[in-house]
Amino acid sequence: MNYKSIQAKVLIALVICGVLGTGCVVGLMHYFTVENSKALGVEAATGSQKLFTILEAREISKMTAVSDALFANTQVRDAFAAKDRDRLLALTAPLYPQLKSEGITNWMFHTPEPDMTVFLRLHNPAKFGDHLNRFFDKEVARTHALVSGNELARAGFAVRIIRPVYDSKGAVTGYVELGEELDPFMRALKSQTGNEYGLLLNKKFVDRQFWADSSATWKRRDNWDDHAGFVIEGKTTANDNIIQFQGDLATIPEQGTVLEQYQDGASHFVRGIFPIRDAAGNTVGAMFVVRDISDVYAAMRRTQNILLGLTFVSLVGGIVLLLLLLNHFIFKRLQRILTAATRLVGGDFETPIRTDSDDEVGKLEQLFEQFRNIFVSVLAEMSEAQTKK
Amino acid sequence: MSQTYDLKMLIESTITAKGLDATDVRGKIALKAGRLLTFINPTTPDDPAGVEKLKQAIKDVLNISA
Repeated sequence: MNYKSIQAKVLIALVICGVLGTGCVVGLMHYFTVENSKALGVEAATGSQKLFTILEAREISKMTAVSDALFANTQVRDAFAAKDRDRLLALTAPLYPQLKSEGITNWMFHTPEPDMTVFLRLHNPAKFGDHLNRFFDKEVARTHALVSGNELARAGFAVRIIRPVYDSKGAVTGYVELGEELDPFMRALKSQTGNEYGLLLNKKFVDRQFWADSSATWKRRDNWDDHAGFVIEGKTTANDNIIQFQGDLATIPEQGTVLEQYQDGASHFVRGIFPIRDAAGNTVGAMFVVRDISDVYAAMRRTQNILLGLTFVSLVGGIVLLLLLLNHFIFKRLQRILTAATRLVGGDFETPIRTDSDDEVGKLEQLFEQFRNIFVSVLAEMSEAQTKK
Repeated sequence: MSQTYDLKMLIESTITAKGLDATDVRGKIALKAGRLLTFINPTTPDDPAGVEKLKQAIKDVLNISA
């Protein structure tokens, strides 16, 4: 190929355009893949957060209804007002297994202030008389109204309600508290979203010794030292590697955030996290979300490959078509003029230039044909003049 | 006979020997040499510069040294 020819230059320019175009498409597709993965991560975090809030509200509503039903029973109310622990236990103990099966694992009665001690624990009747001195206790004593929300006790996290109990004269006789641990929440989240979850607790709010003791009680590994700032309260998968978080739980934005996208074998995942606040508004923990985006990722890759293939085929097809058109309308006709000019000078005075178009090259052909006619006439005259000599 | 005419004869004999397209070859040489071979005859006077240009054109087109 003659690299000085316009044809070669056009071809090189088209190939460069093709490579740049393909590169742009690849870059654009990569950008869309990353952005879509991020969007999936955001959706996983925010969607899970919304679902968590809905589940929390639903459970609070359920526990509130249970407490309403409980104190509609005058025998229970009277036994509590009389501070008759045995009678209260006898009346409420048969209900506890049923509530436990519904997820309500914590059930306590508290004496009124100023003592405000635990009067009866349905989940541990032998233990009573202790002061809990939590935000919940202070808040319900201050407001004498229902207090609900998340609460991080010394060794675990739970959704709780606490409400005052009134006697027939309207005086507060104490408080009743119901609570649910968050493990069922995580299982419900997983069953509804398909994501994996991990509940992280800020170590600042967890008692080290109690964590060790409860780990021993529940026969679970003491994982306190696994991470610097937090401890994993629970997770929906046995895989420990899914939880990768180096930051400070307190700095997680309210709406949650996407941490990263990662690949494990042939599977693609995106990690997100959203904060969990207690009833007092402290960020006491966070829910770690891992979404398997392998299917979506594969679909995106498939689309990317199809688009890339189509772009490549279109560009190659476009280049070939353009070259064919240029060749047909310009280069071939220019070559014909060149050949005609050469042959004219070589003695072919008879072959005219065929002109069948009025385009730019056609005008050049017409001009050349006129020039050829003049040239032939001049040659004829010169030849005649030479003969006469 | 002039050297210029000898060169023309060389061109014609090469075209015949190699079976080339005579008009095309003559045209290419004429364009390179800057003169029409049609007007070269035995009495054409030699112009040293013109002869050199014709030799160079023959070399370029027919790849032979004149």
